[in-house]
Amino acid sequence: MTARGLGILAALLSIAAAGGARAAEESGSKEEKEAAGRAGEAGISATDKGPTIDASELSKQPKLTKPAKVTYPPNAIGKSGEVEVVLLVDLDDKGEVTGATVIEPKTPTGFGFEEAAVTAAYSLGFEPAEVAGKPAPVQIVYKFKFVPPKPPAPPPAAAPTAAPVEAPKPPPVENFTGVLLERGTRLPMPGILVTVYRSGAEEPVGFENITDAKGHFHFFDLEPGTWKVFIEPPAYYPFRTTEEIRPGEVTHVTYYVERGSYNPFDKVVTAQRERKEVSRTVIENVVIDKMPGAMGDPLAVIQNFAGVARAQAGSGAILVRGSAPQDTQIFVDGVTVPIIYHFGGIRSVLPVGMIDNLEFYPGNFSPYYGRATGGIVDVSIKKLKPPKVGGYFDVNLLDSSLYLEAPIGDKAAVAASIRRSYIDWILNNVIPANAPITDITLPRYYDYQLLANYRPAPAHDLRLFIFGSDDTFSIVLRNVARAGTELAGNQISDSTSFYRALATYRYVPADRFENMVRLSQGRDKGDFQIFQFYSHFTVDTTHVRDTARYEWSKKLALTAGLDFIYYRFSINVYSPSAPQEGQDSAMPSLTDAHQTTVSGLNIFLPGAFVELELRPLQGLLILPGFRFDYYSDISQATFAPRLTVRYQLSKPVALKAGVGLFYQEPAIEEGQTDKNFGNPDLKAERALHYSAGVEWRPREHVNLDVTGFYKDLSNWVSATTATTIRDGITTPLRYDNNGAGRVYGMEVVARHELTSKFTGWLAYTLSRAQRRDSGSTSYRLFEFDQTHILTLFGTYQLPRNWQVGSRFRLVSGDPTTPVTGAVYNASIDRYSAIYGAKYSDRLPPFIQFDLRVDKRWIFNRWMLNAYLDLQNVLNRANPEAIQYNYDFTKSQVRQGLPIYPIIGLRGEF
Amino acid sequence: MRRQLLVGLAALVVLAVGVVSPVRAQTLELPRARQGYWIGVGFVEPVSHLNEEGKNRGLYTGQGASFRIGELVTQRLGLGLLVEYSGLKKGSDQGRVGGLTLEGSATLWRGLSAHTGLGVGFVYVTDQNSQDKSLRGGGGSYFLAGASYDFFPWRKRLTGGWAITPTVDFRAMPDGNIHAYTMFAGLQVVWWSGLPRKMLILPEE
Repeated sequence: MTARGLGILAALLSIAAAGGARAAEESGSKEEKEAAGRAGEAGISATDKGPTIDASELSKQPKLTKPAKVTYPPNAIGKSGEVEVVLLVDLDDKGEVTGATVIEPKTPTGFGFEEAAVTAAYSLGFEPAEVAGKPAPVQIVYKFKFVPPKPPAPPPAAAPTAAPVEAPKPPPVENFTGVLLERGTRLPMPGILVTVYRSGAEEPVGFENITDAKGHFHFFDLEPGTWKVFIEPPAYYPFRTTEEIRPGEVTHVTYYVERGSYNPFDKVVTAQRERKEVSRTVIENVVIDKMPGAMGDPLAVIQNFAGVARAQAGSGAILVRGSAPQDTQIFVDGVTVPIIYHFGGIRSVLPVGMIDNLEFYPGNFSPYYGRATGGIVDVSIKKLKPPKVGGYFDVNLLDSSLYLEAPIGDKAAVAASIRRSYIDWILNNVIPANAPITDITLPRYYDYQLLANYRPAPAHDLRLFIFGSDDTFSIVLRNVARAGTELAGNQISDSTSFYRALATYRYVPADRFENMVRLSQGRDKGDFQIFQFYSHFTVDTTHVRDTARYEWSKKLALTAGLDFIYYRFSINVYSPSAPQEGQDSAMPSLTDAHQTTVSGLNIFLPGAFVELELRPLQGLLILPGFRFDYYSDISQATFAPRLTVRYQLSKPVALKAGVGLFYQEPAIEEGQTDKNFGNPDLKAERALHYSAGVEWRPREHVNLDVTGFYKDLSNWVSATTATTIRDGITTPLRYDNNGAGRVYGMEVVARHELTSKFTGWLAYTLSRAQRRDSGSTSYRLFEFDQTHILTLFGTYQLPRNWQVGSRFRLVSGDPTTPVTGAVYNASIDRYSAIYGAKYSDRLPPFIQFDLRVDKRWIFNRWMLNAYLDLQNVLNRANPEAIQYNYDFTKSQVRQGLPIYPIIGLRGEF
Repeated sequence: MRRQLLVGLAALVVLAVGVVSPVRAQTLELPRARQGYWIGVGFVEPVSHLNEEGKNRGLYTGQGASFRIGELVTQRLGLGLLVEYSGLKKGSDQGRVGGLTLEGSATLWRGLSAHTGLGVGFVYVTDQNSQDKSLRGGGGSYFLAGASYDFFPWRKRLTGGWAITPTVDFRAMPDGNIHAYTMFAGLQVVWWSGLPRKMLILPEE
């Protein structure tokens, strides 16, 4: 049974009885059969593997289809009697044995009965159990009975002058032993039949042995000579070889047996936690890794989800349901991170090897999440449980990385990863010597991660995750005069770094209660210089979360938690004001620059939330909840009630709806609450989310989801030309909370969930995002409004370890503000544009087709994966923006990336 | 643990025919010449029709080389890469055409297979008689459709071997300043790796 799977504790009496009876049949005794049946009836025990249900809720009990034979251990003959071994056996939703634990005897016998029973358990086969007609993983109790072999029949009566008594046989001598490992992964192969045989002049003879839990097999007393070895596990290529057995020697071998397909999808556990939100998308790391156009980057994959608008190439922005990038929060295991992308959004700061999955909520998210009015992205870090020392190295055109993981005993594990780019090395060799720049520190990034997991007991799970990144870029221009008369200095540089140390303690003392504490501590540091303008900041961050869940009954559960963030800011900035959404970002007023210095500013963001899970009727789930937040920098408390309702109308059809209030503080990073750059009296922005939809699951792995949504934005921070009197001086207000907005639309997702060969989806979003600026009475289009967003994605596993995938995107062009003329401004020696109605025009649509092919080669001790990711295969010149000449009389469309191939290699060991 | 089996004749018969279990996730194949990986090199003779910014530049001819690598994924379907580079000439115009293509192939009959693919390519020309000898053209999407036939004149192995392979490919590069539509006729020497024994249906040794 998997940790994420549905944990079902089932006392399956018939199964246990069948096992016992079969074992007893070897002895052929009626009494033993009855005893075995009785023993099987006792098989009920607790489990720590997730929520459990009663066996009575199974619509179909697992049925034994393939019994296993056990053999009395040779070294116990004459030293032990009849022995019973009771196992707790894990069956997956295919009825295959995935684990076996000895329940009895409590004290080891010392003769190998337990090992033999566990080994035999892996040979058992079952028809899977079912819950509500669907195959489900279960645990069963299974008993093996070892009956000592009957002593050989006494020799026929001899004459009184009989021969002398025969000497006892010598103990068997092991002379051929080995270990069976899976080729490529080096994982031991338990429960596999190994056959040795030979056919000479005499009668053919053969022996067999089943590998133990560590893949070891043993043969005794093989006669010297050549023996053929034959191994044929299901789903593996047959393994055949010959071995020479020499007298007086022990032959020890290691065999690597190749699987029929090394499909990464096979490793995925598709069982997911119950759906509670109106809209939630979960994507597993193996899909992230192979998605065309994403280059294995976790967050690039988000752009393919319904409700996510296309961001400009290289921006790295995540635009959710008509929201600005800063309205969507990105979490790593529930705690905030300052940046998630390296330069220009080309790579996120977490490698796919450290990630378990990625959850995305485009709206109406749980009160567990707060301080965001757009969407939520929560990256779950890997549940570390490596079976062996292993890892991977990855080499591609952008960067190289190394990932290592290792178990430490049975209860602990550790993993580490590091990555560095080499864009700087490539550009160093491309930029000509006479280029108008010098003293270059070309773009360079690296990131690192360390993950440790310790589970001292089933109820306790401790994790430590340390990660960080560092980006640097710097150039010095030779001829600054060309850059403009308003500019001084000759340097452009950008340096950003951060680290986080995240400790998590999960305590599950009982099935009904669990508590999780997360403590994160880190520092962000940034230094920017653009000619005479600069920004230097340091932010120390502490984030504490405590979430508890208690289940009173099947109809009532409560989740509550605390969510506290502390920031300590130090910043020194001299810069023009950042253009607000809707303002001309291409031509900031460089003369309107300000300086501000803040040292040791403390900001406290305490929060708390409560959510109830009510199930008053069969199939009906009601989730009322609320969240409380306080923002010390704007001295405001917010109370955000939320409600989600979900009703399973029939087995394949579910209805869902949600309404909720969401708050977010003004953008501190843009200086909106700074007295020099913005307005210190700003309050939190507010969004009211409504959504409703229907889910239809016509087939097991096919899901159709249609969701309509409406967002009402109020208290929106908007640029204003109004003034105010502050400290007796009339000063520009710059921003106020008089803006508003509305977003409405519909999302359609048809998804084929991950199976062993295929996953894919169609995601279509039809939406309209509008804003109303401060002082205006009419709505206009939002900067990132995209009417139609269509994404088609699919990836398919072919034989011989090939995988192909493709992605097609068709997206409406971004809104643009037309330029209707220009006037010459002598004071700054520059033309200034005269704009038409804001965002009244639109770029042509974006169309892109990507293709990816992966091939994996299997070696004995490692695997090599090569991929070719062809992006923009049709080489379409996609428009990104409109560029004007100096006097705005001519314009051209700035195009996105042309066709480009990315080639990469990954070695897994 | 030791246990003598009743392997006897029954087991040996089963092993002798190589089909040891009716339940197997992967398919074993009978040995054939076209199996496993292929890697081939050869020469190509291109005939290319160029269209430069709407102007018909006529037919260019030349010589070049091709390199092909891939694997038969099923008994009929193959996946691989094709790299081609060729010179072009017409009057005083000289140029080059080539690209990297991801290709899929389907075996139609015996050694005959059809190919199709897409990738990234380039075409450049320059006028040797002009004072401006700068290259004109560019890169873009590259589309492929073609056919080939593998002859195995020296077949000695059960699986795989050396093949002589005539090829005919049509390629289109409809992007950039110069659009190129090229027919390549070529001959390759191709080595087929064959399949390892464990993937084959073989009689017992």
